[in-house]
Amino acid sequence: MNSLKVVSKSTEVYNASNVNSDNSEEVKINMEVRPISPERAIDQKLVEKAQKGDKQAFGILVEKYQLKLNRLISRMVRDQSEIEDIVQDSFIKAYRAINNFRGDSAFYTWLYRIGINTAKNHLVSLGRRPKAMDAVDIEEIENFQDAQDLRSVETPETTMMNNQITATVNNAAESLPDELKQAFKLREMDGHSYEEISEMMGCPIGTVRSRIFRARDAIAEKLKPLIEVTNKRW
Amino acid sequence: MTVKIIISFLLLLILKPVSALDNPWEIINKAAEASKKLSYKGIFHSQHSGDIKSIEITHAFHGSDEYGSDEYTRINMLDGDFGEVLADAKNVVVYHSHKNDVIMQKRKNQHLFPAIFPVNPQILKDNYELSFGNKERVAGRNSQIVVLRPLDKYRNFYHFWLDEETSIPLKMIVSDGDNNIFEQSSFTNIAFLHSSNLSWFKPSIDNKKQDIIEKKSDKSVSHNKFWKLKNTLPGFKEVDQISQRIPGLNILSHQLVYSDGLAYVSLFIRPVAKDKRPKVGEVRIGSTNISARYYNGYQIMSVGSVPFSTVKHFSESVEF
Amino acid sequence: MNEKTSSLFDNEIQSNELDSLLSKKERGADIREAIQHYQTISDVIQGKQLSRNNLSNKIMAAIDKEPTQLGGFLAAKKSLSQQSSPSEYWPMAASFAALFVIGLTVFNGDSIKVGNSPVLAKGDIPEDIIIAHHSSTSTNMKYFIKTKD
Repeated sequence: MNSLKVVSKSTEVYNASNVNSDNSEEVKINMEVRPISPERAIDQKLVEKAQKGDKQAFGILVEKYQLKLNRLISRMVRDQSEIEDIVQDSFIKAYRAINNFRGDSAFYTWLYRIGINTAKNHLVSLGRRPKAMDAVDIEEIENFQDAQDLRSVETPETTMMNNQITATVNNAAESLPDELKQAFKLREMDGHSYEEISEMMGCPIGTVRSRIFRARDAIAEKLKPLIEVTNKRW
Repeated sequence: MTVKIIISFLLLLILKPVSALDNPWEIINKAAEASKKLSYKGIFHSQHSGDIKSIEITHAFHGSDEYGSDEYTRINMLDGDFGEVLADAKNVVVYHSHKNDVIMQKRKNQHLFPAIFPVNPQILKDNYELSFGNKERVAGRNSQIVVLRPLDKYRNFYHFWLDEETSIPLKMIVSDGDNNIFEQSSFTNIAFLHSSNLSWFKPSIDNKKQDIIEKKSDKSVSHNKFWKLKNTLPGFKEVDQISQRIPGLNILSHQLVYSDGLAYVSLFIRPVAKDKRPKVGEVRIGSTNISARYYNGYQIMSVGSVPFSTVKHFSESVEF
Repeated sequence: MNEKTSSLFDNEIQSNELDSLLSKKERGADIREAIQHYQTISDVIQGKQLSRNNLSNKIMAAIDKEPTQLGGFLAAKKSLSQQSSPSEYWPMAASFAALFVIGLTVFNGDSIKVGNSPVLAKGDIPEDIIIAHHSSTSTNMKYFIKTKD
């Protein structure tokens, strides 16, 4: 097997020699390297821990992506219980194959490919034809956003519950102390990083972190009783 | 007279050679499959060279898919320093609290009791004769004694007590022709598992805190074979070659592994360092025989729990 | 813990903080629950659709039954940009020697004369050779059992 040896590395250009163990011929490959996003770096760390047997780390990845995967699969499969089975199977397959993940792509890109293959296999096994997801390319997966036009399983009960949750969260957010509210909204509504918020608010990053957490904690306290009543499913 | 004939016939049946039965090797096939495909947990005693240890083993066979391996084994040492082994189909990881580190290597030729048989037990037919012995109880279960007798002087005797119900080996003794026992392993209790829960397959030691040492062959080293064996022993095939560079000396050392399916011999070929005298001769260390030879500037050593004639044959067969 | 979880949710957690967060084994479910709440809050604030079935507990119950993966132990030690170098075998022999003292009990003293062959002493055989043999060809607990010297 050939081994890659780093000859020199800069932030912009990455030179790698491909050394053949039989005849020592060298092939230089120039590749551009984009800086890794914080999300991808954190996911990579979680994957590494999962590869080392830390199931909790994998559990965080499950929590992060189960909903997105659910929505992705729902573009191919209609029945909600089937979607849930496929999502669960996909994560189990991802866990079993976690050592095959090399970090060449983002974790969720790899996970989504597994999800799509699992869904396709499921449809084929039922004699159904997989839908237009055949044409999904990698870029589309990486840019997959939570689609707002997806069919959702709404009943009068779930609609009422959603309304209650929405009202509770909004009321709780509005009644936050000003400094907490400001940090929280800069993060949640405008998507600013902690560093950006710290500059905008003129306070240390640690303070930003604390304020955002305290805001969430205060809202979550009011939200919990609602969620417990519904058994987290609606 | 008639009674004597009948008794002789019955005695012949008790320890009958292979040819009297239809496909008797099937029991070995079943034993090989059972040790791989069954899920079980038990404790067995393992003895070699006078030392006995109690070992707990948990083994499960899990349905495989395109992503995962399908066989999981966990071994805990119950006596002495804590030691643990986790093995799946591809890797073996050894934990030892004594050194506070973790050794990891690819799973190749490790066939640990009770999974002692090769993947294809049929290869044993050419070099061993199968005989059935009595039935005995082991670990509270009925078992059939099966003996593999070597067809030549180059192998040991293997005695198995195979579970009547599942064919899994419950006990094993390896001996030479003079009934000297090299090693034996025997379950004291065994239970078969029916759950698909594999959560037990995890390290006891906090592997996050350990240094993990990978044991592997250096693939950048040339595997150019400059040697050959002028006489190979029947049944022994080369199953592995490991080449390593000895650090600090820039000496390339080769280890060739030969096996007939049950017995293993390692043949080491390495240059003799300038300031070292080569070793020539034979020695037994525990149940392991070693034959050493000096040839064309190289130290040749063959090692194995096999008769002296075997290791001697291997060390003397190398030429280049 | 929850402040770290909040930072994790925002992808703003530091590496050592993530280690610390995950080091508390019994809190895995708590971390997931916190993230669920934060996600709900975020969806509301951003005006996203709330219809969701949270499968994470069910998925993790299934994952808990899965065996620990071994193959990535070493891969997990390497960073993305770090080149792995082949491990040297011989220095590890010392570790093996400490781990496993292999069958060094002799039957009749330290050496045995066989036929007319010269007799070697036990000390003439490099320990790494014995270790290398057994680690490559384990058929019994000899590989893993410490025995008397």
